[in-house]
Amino acid sequence: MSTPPVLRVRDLTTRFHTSHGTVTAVNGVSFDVARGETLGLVGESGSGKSVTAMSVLRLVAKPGRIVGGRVELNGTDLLTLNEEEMRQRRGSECGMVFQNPMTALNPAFSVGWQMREALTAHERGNGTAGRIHAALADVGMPDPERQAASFPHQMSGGMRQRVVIAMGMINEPQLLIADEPTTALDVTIQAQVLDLMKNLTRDHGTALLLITHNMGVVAKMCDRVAVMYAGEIVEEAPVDELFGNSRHPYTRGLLRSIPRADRPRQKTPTLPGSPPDMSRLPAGCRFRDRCVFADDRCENHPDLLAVGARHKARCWKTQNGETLDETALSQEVPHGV
Amino acid sequence: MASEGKTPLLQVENLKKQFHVRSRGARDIRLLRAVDGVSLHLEAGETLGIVGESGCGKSTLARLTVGLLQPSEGRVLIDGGDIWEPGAAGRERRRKFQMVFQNPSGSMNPRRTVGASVAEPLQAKGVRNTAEAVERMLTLVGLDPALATRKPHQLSGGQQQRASIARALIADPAIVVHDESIASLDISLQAQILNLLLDLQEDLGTSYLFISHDLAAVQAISHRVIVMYLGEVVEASAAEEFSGRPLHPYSVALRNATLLPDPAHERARGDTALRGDVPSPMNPPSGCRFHTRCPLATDLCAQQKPLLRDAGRGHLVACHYAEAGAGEVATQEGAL
Ligand SMILES: Nc1ncnc2c1ncn2[C@@H]1O[C@H](COP(=O)(O)OP(=O)(O)OP(=O)(O)O)[C@@H](O)[C@H]1O
Ligand SMILES: Nc1ncnc2c1ncn2[C@@H]1O[C@H](COP(=O)(O)OP(=O)(O)OP(=O)(O)O)[C@@H](O)[C@H]1O
Ligand code: SF4
Ligand SMILES: [Mg+2]
Ligand SMILES: [Mg+2]
Repeated sequence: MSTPPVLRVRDLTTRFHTSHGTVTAVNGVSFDVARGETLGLVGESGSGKSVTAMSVLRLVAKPGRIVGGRVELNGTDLLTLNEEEMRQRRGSECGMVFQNPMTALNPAFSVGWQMREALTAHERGNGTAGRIHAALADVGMPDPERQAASFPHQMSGGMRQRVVIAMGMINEPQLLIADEPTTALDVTIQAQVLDLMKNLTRDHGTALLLITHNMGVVAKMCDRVAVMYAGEIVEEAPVDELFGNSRHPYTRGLLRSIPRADRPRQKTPTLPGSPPDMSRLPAGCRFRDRCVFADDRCENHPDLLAVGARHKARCWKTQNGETLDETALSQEVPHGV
Repeated sequence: MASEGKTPLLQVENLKKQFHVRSRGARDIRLLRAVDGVSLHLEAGETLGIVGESGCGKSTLARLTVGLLQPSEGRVLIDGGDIWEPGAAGRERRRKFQMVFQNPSGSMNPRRTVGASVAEPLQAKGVRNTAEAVERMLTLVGLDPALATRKPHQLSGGQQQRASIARALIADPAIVVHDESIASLDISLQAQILNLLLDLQEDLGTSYLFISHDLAAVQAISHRVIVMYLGEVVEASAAEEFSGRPLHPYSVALRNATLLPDPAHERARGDTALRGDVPSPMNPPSGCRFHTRCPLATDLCAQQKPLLRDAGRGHLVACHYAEAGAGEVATQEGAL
């Protein structure tokens, strides 16, 4: 590729030291997001997606600590900036939509006031109020003028989420990180908000890192997808390739759990077992205990290697060109829990 | 709406909740009708799915139902008795509920360990030794029991949400109200929780009110479904009937805007967002509240409010043109 990516993350590692041991929540994670591109970040709950996002913006709270790696935004390693330089970039160059809107909103101030604060200083001025109302209307907020005067507790879950989305996009950042931005929205409002994000990437070249559990959202929005499991990226592929020809057993299992609207009150297959304790990770492949394809090779830890064009997987089997036989998966489906 | 002669486990009658909202600077206080005359019933061992637009009053309805909010009008009855009856009787009825909040911090005390919060409903019932039950429940929701010693902020979003599900289920409540309880879980865990809820229902006869934006999840767990729009019920039906034949134009819009896990299909799809501004509950549109955004609306819709009526097979809908609408809007989109 000729132009360098907007965001380039290399070997990012973030740990939490707790009284019960050290949790390596993000473990040697590397990825790029190009100008105008949307990279989806999916994976197991607790696998490190939010901590990855927070690490990129250096918002990990104590006792969490970024212990290694590089986070380059347009070529500058953010991990080397001082706090003040970082704070400025957070406002103008990178926007963030947090998973829990309540952590991003201050209960003591009106929504309009908080949005004004989010605008970069040189953007504030005469037209500010109008701009805030327009931003709220864009995300499908009813009665935007009145809503700007209301407080977070007076809003529904999805209304708060829309405020946080509007705040993240208001400066038209070069990088937008959105962590589960649409979980509290009904699908018609979701469509409106996703279209807005798409326009931002297309018209403004914003690079979008989109964390979501919703495979429909992935299908609509993403150019490429990275899949996380137990602190690591285990697969990375263009979106069609991921849905059509996934090369990691975890991804395969995940895709099989998508519920089907056409089969009322029937059980959906789930992945057997549970993820490893992040403070006591097993040697070898971290998915080994739950993997129906595991063999002796898997006692060693696999690297994330190419398994096809622009397609990488962290699995001994597919790295050696072997196929993942779906019938093995269906035999393993436990019914009930 | 209840079946003849039998008292349902839970009955909600013409429930209304108004908030008084004062905007900064403005002197007028206006009424916001968050829930505007909702009736529903729930039998033992039954699941009622609730879908609807963001801001249409689902969480408010949930909080009214479990007795966290006092209604402005209307009643909530358990086995025929009002949950707001003064004294022990009312208190006893309110105890039949557990709720999983949309925002998991709603049910987890930030200063207590996760294990302590999960054990609380059992202790409230007088159970002394809770350790074993907590461990079992955490495992059932897919959480490592070792996480019980952590504080909520040390967990990921989905881990917190599972802990609040564990808390809601641990003391075998009669009714559990789920407000977006599985939205922030990965899909495998979503399926695991849904399967768990089905199992508990079969074994213990638990009833669920299941609020969700995910039609597939609602379909996977519900016997019946209601659809809300701006504080009102606009459609109510058996789940199977609803999935095959959503009748209200808003329900059809919901179905058509549901994204499928298929990139080629999603790229080819046209614009599915509803046209028009989202109306304000402080100033709801005249006639049918959906008419400002409805693809089928006529003058009649702006003037006359459609009542909830039976469109056949017990399928209730509040729309003047429901039967015509369902087919037309669906073929327009060519969906499903
Ligand atoms: N303050 C903390 N102290 C200890 N461990 C933590 C802390 N914050 C997060 N963790 C752990 O780090 C891991 C990664 O958390 P993260 O929030 O990134 O998960 P996630 O992939 O975003 O999950 P979800 O999909 O549930 O939001 C989890 O196992 C979590 O328990
Ligand atoms: N305490 C309050 N004061 C004023 N208005 C409120 C209050 N709580 C809720 N509302 C308003 O009531 C309406 C319904 O809110 P509710 O939270 O019930 O919606 P919801 O259907 O749960 O939406 P979502 O899907 O976004 O969670 C909204 O317009 C909201 O702004
Ligand atoms: S009554 Fe009219 S406006 Fe309302 S949903 Fe039906 S067709 Fe649309
Ligand atoms: Mg997260
Ligand atoms: Mg809600």
